[in-house]
Amino acid sequence: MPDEQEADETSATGNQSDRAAARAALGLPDSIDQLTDEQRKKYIGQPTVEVEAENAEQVQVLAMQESGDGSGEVVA
Amino acid sequence: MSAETIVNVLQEAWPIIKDGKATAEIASSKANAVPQVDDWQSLTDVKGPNSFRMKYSVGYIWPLDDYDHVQLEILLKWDVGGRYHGGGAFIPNIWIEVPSLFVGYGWDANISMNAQQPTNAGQTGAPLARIPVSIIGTVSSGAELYRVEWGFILFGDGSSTNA
Repeated sequence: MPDEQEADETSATGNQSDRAAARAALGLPDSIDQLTDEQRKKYIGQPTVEVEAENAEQVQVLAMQESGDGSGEVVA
Repeated sequence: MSAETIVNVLQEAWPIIKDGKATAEIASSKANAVPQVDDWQSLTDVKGPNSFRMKYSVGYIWPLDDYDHVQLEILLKWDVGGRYHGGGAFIPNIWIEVPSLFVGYGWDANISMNAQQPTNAGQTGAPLARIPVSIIGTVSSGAELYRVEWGFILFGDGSSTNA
């Protein structure tokens, strides 16, 4: 668990001491509970939205048969 | 009753994420687009599933980027190519999976699945199921409310459009 916490505290954008110094310089509190609504709005990033098709198998549409024998005419 | 008429005989809507947690309805709910016949469960040659993966994330920026955030993935899956009496292309199952979901402290998420009325996009004697589906809801913090919406039109032959 300590290793996970340590990993969390060092991100691609800086380590925890840099982050704490930046917060102090900007007058931000140490706890998220103490953020004002204005501070929350200012520091929320833009949402990231992605959509990708993973499997896209396609089949031909055949004409139905009265007998239901499974054979059909290709129509599309 | 006609195989040319395509209906959804399962669910039309169900919650996916409620109060920031995945719902039990995910496992028990499905939609479909099948012929309006008594023996629609006798569809043959079903293939798939095809799928769309949707990813959504939002959080704080530097220097608050270590605070809690929201990150989720939703999979929309559907079986394709079901044939009735050897023809047509129907969708016997449409379902949702949520492979990852994190809703941090101070955040909330409520998202649901909605299936519209299916129609026949094929030719006489060769029905092609077409069903619009949408995954919509909100992600919110104490300060912000974001609307989440993905829309798709699924076809029985496996094709689809991202509306």
